[in-house]
Amino acid sequence: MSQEQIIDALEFIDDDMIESVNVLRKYPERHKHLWLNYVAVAACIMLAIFGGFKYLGNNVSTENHSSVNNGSTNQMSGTADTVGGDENKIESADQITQDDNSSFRDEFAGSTGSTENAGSSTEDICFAASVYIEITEISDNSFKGKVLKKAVVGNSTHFEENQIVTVIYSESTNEKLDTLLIKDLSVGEKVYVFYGKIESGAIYTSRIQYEKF
Amino acid sequence: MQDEKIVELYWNRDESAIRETQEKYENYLYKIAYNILSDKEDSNESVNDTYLAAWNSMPPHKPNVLSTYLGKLTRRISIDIFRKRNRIKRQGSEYALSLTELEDCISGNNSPEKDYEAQILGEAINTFLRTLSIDARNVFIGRYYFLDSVKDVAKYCGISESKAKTLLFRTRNSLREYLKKEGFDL
Repeated sequence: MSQEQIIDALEFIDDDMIESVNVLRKYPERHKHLWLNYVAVAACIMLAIFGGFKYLGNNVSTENHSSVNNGSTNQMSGTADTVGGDENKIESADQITQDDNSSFRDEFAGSTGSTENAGSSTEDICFAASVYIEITEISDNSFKGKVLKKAVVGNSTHFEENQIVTVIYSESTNEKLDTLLIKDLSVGEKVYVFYGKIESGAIYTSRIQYEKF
Repeated sequence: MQDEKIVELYWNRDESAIRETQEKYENYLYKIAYNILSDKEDSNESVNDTYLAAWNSMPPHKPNVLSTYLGKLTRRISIDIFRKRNRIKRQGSEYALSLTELEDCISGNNSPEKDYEAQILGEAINTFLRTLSIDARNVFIGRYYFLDSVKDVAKYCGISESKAKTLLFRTRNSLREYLKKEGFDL
């Protein structure tokens, strides 16, 4: 059998198979794997855009936190006489009410009980503090977790990194806060816990968020 | 004009059938002829012979797909022109001429037996092609039926040239194995 015989025999190929190739010759198929290139380029662009936003966001966030912390420090120094040199504590509810940030504070301190209860095992925080926690265990209205880094807002000296803490959720009495509920959380997640009271080593919070604010 | 109408014109022995065919299929037929002959004049001659062959074959033929039918005619005519042209070129060499004469002794040119063999082989190839993936089948038909370049085939099949070459290589090997298995003397 020669090659020519095969070429001649191809004349007997069914019309439908020939016609399908003929259609392709008229209307060529777009490169099948070209979309992969487009996807790769699109992914790079998206990465660059989101990376840029993230970078800018971090810078802005850092600046904001710096200014918040500075503000806090100034307030503390401004009321140094009344707090007796302790920046972390206050001594009376009257002083709290005079605080310019009372509404912000009330979300936390107000929801977690009176600051008059401040005692040996209870510590009310004059300014909302937050701590970044990786959740290790969850129960009905509380969870345990490992402190990942120190607070980004307000007081930042309550916990050490890697310390295991218990977080107890209590709903805000003042207003509906934008917060995650315990049921929304799962083990392994990392959350920011904003708190106004620590009692027996447990954090009382009414605001839990994935992102810092 | 629709293909059915053109076929009807052929059946009615209306000469406008050729004009309609020329308007609709000249470029398509010319491309097939040129792929085989690589010569403008020969290709035009082949296309003109196709019109004549179509005129002579309809009736009795009534093709379902006119383009494929005409394409097959052009392909056959072009291959015949190609072989004739090569035979003439080889006439300078007595050795080549003697080989050609001996070929004729082995199997008669365009004999019914040869046509029948080609048909049997064609049916086997047909069955084989049905077992292939769509890509492999399209590439094979594009390359060996339409005789398009590998580059062109890859382009209109939407694959890379290297993939087309690989598909062709694998398909040729598979076809050889298949024909052996089917009892063809290779």
